[in-house]
Amino acid sequence: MTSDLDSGGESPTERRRRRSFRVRLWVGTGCYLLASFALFEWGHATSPWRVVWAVLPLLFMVWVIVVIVLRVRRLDEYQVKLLFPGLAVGFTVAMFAAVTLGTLSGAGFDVPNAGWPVALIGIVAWEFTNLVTGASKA
Amino acid sequence: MQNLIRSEREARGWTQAVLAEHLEVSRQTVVALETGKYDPSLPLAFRIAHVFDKPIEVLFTPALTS
Repeated sequence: MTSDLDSGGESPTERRRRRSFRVRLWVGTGCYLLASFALFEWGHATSPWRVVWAVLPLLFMVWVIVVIVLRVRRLDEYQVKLLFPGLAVGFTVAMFAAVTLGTLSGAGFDVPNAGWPVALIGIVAWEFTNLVTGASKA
Repeated sequence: MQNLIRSEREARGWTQAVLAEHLEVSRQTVVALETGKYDPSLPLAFRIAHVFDKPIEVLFTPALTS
């Protein structure tokens, strides 16, 4: 049975937190993309400055990690319960992919840009698990 | 576990979002609590009891098994 009181969307606090999270996340991601562009544009030179270009995107990734950690700390107990399976499966699959690529590399296979496939496989496994458990609606 | 969260909320004319604000949880959590999909932790159950000004044992009862 439903009633008019069942509607109402997010609470004001929830909406404010979600907006704040999205703005911070996209600012960090945008800066990361700009820094990555700078890396690919100027980071291949032989000058000592290439170290700066190489490290710059990572600083913005640290910012993104901090934003995500703050968001997770504000989740309530039910949201944490929903989030956990996706993270656990994503982490396990990513570690399995890393070990698989490491083993292939150890056997002499050429595994270029090995970090990116691991990240992509982990994210896909995470999102797929969220879809299965219904956490994607959280 | 069965609970009276929905009836207590409706008796006060609160939306799920308003109750979520009182409990400092998401509206999604309120929905899960009301539909019995999720049983709250003891601290959250105490918060619910405090918000509704009712004892926990009145709000929450063991589910009847067939």
